[in-house]
Amino acid sequence: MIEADAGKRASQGFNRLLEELRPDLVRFAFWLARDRQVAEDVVQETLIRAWRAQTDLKDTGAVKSWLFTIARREHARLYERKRLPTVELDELVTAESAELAEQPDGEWHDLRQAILGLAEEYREPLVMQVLGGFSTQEIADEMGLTQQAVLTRLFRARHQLRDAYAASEEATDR
Amino acid sequence: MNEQTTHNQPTSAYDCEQARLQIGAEPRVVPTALAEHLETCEPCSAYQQQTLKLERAIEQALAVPVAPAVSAVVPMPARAVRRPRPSLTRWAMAASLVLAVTIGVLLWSARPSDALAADIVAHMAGEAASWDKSAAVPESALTFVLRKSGVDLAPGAAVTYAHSCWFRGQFVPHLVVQSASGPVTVMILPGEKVARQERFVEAPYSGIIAPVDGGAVAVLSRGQRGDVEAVLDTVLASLKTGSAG
Repeated sequence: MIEADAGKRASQGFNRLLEELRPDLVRFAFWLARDRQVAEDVVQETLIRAWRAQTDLKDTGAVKSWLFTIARREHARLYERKRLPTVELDELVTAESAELAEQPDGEWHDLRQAILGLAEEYREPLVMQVLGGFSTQEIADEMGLTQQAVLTRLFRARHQLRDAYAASEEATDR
Repeated sequence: MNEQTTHNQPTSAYDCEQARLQIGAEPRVVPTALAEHLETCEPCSAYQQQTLKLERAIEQALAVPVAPAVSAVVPMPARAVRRPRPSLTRWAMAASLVLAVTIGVLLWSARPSDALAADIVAHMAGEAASWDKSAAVPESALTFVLRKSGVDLAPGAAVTYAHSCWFRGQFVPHLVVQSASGPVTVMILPGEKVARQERFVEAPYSGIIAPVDGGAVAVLSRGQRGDVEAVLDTVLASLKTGSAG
């Protein structure tokens, strides 16, 4: 009985942790998939897998990167198992941008559009680093790249975003 | 993540190109050698400030609004549906029944629909709001959901919810159909193999999993409301041959 109570408390604690991290996880999945519905599906599957594998998590301090890693693999699995319909980038960016522009913080519209337009090889490490807090070595390990390659990709990602941000700032100043 | 961190490990001196690569790749990480370079290089120092400003903007831009979860983050049934298996001790105590137990285990393992039902029920808990929809789904939306999974369904039932759900590694149509006695959920499961039609009960849900050409169909109701059999008949009659494959 005591063991059962302790297990229940641990489960509740773990669930609270997942609830706290869910928004970041949805954002991460969204920027990987560039589709809200796919992101929600990835997160749902990720959380169920995480729940079932919670005993594998030895360090609760690492839960965020652990969840992001599961989500990244779930997203990749999704594309491996099921060829999703290919959507033209312009069409995707337009659709997502329209939705994002309706949000109250639409001031980030141009930069978000630029992030959506980044090639996956640049967007993925950037999102892992900024949203997930992964180090460049962790990204390299997860993506099967050298650390130098990751540094270069991150540099190029920001270099491409720099122009969009500058244009956005200019527009705001006018 | 919001503060710069300085790494004290010894590194060789940076030139401007290396400094900018490091700044652009990890704006919030400042190795000692970079810090030393920035002290003496005004253009690189300005570049770092611009990049940090950009970084704050990127952080804000990535923080897209997220709708709250419509139900518990991890559905309760996902924790509860897995039935505990009998312990080894118990098996040993039942030595005289080894043969019967073996047959039982074989029968159990020959019924993958048990695990399938558990996964369906777990999925239901994450889509609790789907039961409450009352407006008919536009035909275009229903067609999109079905086509995404390569399923073709003749028109007929009043569908009030149509969602392409990621289930067991693939997108499957998740529909809610209004029957005379209440809503009934239909999941069309291409590639899922079940030997024969089977009933399942996982409170508060009960339903039927039926084989179809190229897969299976699960039809279930909540709290005994909804005419599962009638909806199953409609779906089986509407599913075009081989469309669930």
